[in-house]
Amino acid sequence: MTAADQPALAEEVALLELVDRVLNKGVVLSGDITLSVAGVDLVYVGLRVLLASVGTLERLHESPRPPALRASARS
Amino acid sequence: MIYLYAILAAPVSIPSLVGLDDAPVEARSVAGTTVAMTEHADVVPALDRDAVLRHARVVEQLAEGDAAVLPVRLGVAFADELALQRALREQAGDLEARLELVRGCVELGLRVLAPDGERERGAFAGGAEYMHARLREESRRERLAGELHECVAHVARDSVQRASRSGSVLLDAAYLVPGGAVATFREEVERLEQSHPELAVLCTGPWPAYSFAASAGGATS
Repeated sequence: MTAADQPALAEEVALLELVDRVLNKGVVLSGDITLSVAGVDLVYVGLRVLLASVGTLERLHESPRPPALRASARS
Repeated sequence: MIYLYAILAAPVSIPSLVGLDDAPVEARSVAGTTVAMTEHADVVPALDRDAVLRHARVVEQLAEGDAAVLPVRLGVAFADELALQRALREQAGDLEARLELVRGCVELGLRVLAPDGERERGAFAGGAEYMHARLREESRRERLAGELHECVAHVARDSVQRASRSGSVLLDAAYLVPGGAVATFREEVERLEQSHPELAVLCTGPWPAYSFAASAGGATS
């Protein structure tokens, strides 16, 4: 992995953290409509594997500044 | 159909935001609780990758305001206001308590991973010896995870940890940190990184308080 790949990696990690929260955390009310989640699960599983890797985190830390991890929600 | 993004501390005025399917986000008081919601007449919005980002952006923009915000999980929707009223009444007390808890705070995530080489390896004389080694290793990891947690927990108002720590993951936790203490929290994380150069540490956020929006057994797993 080159330095140029770092922003992409940081973005993927940020996306995982974000998707993790939006899908698995937050208030749940006993709603009477269940909306199905389409296509997100596969992205999520792939990203989980990514973030369980020490190598991923080490590569992130090779960048001179910590990545801006909130960027994905704004882009 | 009513689609929810967040529970808000009333009274509140929210900025102009667009939600799923570009519907305008509205703050409405329902059964004594203020919700951020969009109304969808005919088409049920699809929950795809764009919907995840849109939902997250609405919650984030709401959380940037002054009022306390409880993020709602993706996909919570109601046929009409009556159904929403019923659901809110069931949880009114808990929602109010949670709003008080998160008021003025953001969520910071902390993941700590240990490389495989950290684990005890070697040849074992038998199954019993192997099991003892495994137990020693487990308790060592538990102790280290506890120490890491203590390093930052004193800065936080509350915290939640994922139940399962498997593989290389030593600690996977979220901390509820007062806005003014975020810098201190990050300093503690930096200190932790310096004192444990063998570990991979990732601190993320600030996030809206997703991990503190529901009681244990609900969203916090």
